[in-house]
Amino acid sequence: MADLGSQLPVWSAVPFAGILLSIALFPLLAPRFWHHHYPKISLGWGLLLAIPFLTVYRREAVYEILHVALADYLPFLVLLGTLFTIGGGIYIRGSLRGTPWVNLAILAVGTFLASWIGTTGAAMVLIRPLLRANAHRRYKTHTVVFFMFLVANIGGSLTPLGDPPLFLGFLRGVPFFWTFSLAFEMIVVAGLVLASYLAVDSVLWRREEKTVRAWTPENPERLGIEGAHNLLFLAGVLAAVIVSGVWHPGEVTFFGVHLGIQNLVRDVVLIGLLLGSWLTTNRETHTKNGYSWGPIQEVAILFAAIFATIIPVLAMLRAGEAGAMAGLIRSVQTPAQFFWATGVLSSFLDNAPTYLTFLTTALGRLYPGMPEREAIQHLIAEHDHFLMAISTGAVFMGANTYLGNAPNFMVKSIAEEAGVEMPSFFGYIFRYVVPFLIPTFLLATWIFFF
Amino acid sequence: MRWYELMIEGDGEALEALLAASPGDEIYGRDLRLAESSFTDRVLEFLHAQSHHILFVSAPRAGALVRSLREDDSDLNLEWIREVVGGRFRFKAEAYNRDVAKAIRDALTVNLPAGISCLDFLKEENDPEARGIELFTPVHDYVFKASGTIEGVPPGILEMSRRLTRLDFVQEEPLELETREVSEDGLTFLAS
Repeated sequence: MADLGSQLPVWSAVPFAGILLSIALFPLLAPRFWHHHYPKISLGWGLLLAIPFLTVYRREAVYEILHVALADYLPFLVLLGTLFTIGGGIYIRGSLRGTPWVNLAILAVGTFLASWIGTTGAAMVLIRPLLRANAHRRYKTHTVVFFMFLVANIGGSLTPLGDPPLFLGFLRGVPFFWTFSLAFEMIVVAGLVLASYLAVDSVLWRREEKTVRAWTPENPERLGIEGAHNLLFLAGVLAAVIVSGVWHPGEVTFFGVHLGIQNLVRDVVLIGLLLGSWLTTNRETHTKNGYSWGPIQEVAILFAAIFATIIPVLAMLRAGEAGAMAGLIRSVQTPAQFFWATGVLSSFLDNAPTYLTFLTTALGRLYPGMPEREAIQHLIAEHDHFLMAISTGAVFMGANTYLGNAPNFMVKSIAEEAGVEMPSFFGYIFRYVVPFLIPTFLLATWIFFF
Repeated sequence: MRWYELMIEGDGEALEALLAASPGDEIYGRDLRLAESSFTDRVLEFLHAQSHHILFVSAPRAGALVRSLREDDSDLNLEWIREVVGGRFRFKAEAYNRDVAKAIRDALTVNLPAGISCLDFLKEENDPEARGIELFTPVHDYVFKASGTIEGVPPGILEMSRRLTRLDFVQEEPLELETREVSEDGLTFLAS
């Protein structure tokens, strides 16, 4: 692999850039075209890499594609599908009144929950109760935006279940419980963002008309959870993932690709939990959450292209200074630079491949040529600030634009269909991200990475 | 009936108290989409700390108000007054919720004030394939679109601006007002 990385030309990264830019730009520039044709576009980028790659590198290329498919893509898809299905089976009913403190409580609960059912799952479970609680209010856009900041992004930083980048790190050898070491960073950043929210919502609450402030639901419904048995399935997911990180019964080889038995067992268990949740959950609960197979299909198609096209990029980065991406490796040196480089790219491109790119950049700089799992253990033992910076940069700054993390668009879309006007792409950045998130991230850089 | 635009300098609460003493037909400039305000103005507006207030009022109310301001011993000052003879603004709406769409359609078509013309374009699109949650390919299964120019005389044009400003999912361009200066004699006559 190190050899391949030093042979590949820099333009072999073009298909990877192409699929990431397609995901970033088409929803903004041609949303309807993208909605109907994204499978063909994804296939196009995938083939643009696969055909020359297989033609030139033959057996080595087959191995690389199989390896990324079996070791990264399938486990990634299985986990996301399972968490999404289980989350889609949990529906919170009941009447809440969207006062600043009630909204703050929903955001705080969602921030905590995101690390355990994933940012997409937590966002799906809580966005509707939040919208119902604020339906009578005039000023509610900011609440949805802060929900996006916290529940759809920042909250997912505590476990590999929280956000796809962290699960990719876990698959590559970052221990499950290592992400708990991000707790202080997460608490500080989430605390500052929650405090900002409370301040803004308190001012806007005072600007609401008296009738709005005095509003109470006509037929109040008690708070409750439909599909609460899915919490057991969730515990099962947690157990399966943790066990796969600590149990090492051996390997099987499939077309030359070594696969840990624990990972295969984990994926089979996860598929069982997915099916268990789907079969035992009332369809009405799924409908209320807007659950369907559509998002899983999107992830399956788009990430097939992402994982295929990222192969040469990771190989070049892993080769360190000997690879064609030596310039990138030389330009990012300190934890603060990794935090911002990972973060800025995660703001505009999907954060999962961005995390992998910068993790591999750090490994290529510090441990060029060393096998990945071994290099990651060294990175954690000797330079864990780099991994902290990359992890928090990828997870936190996914909130910087609608493009940064998949649930952002989902939340925006659900809110708009519920009658909440959301800011434009640039409105979101300039009215909310620049005043609230960027100063928080600058402060976090100063506290944690200098 | 003639309508006037007044710029009043002073404490917002004092002005509200003055207006509350004899309720009338005034429309606050802050409830309309006038020219783009500066960042400082927006912060002050957010904090309710603005020192200048635009009011639109009918002739009798304008006269009463000018008199009150002259007699009032608070720090409220009339900075200028103009007669509003007409106005226009362009708008664009795009909504994804049927109730919101109905509210916008009603605002544009039901009980239009006298002397107002509006709407160039209105349509609805349905895409059943786009129903449900999407993570990476977000489109709405229902889209309502409307756009046009609203033109007319006060108070109708002010009322239309206020109606649309209150609605979400509607973007209005600033209200362009056609105004006439009020001479000192005119002001004296108005206040008499």
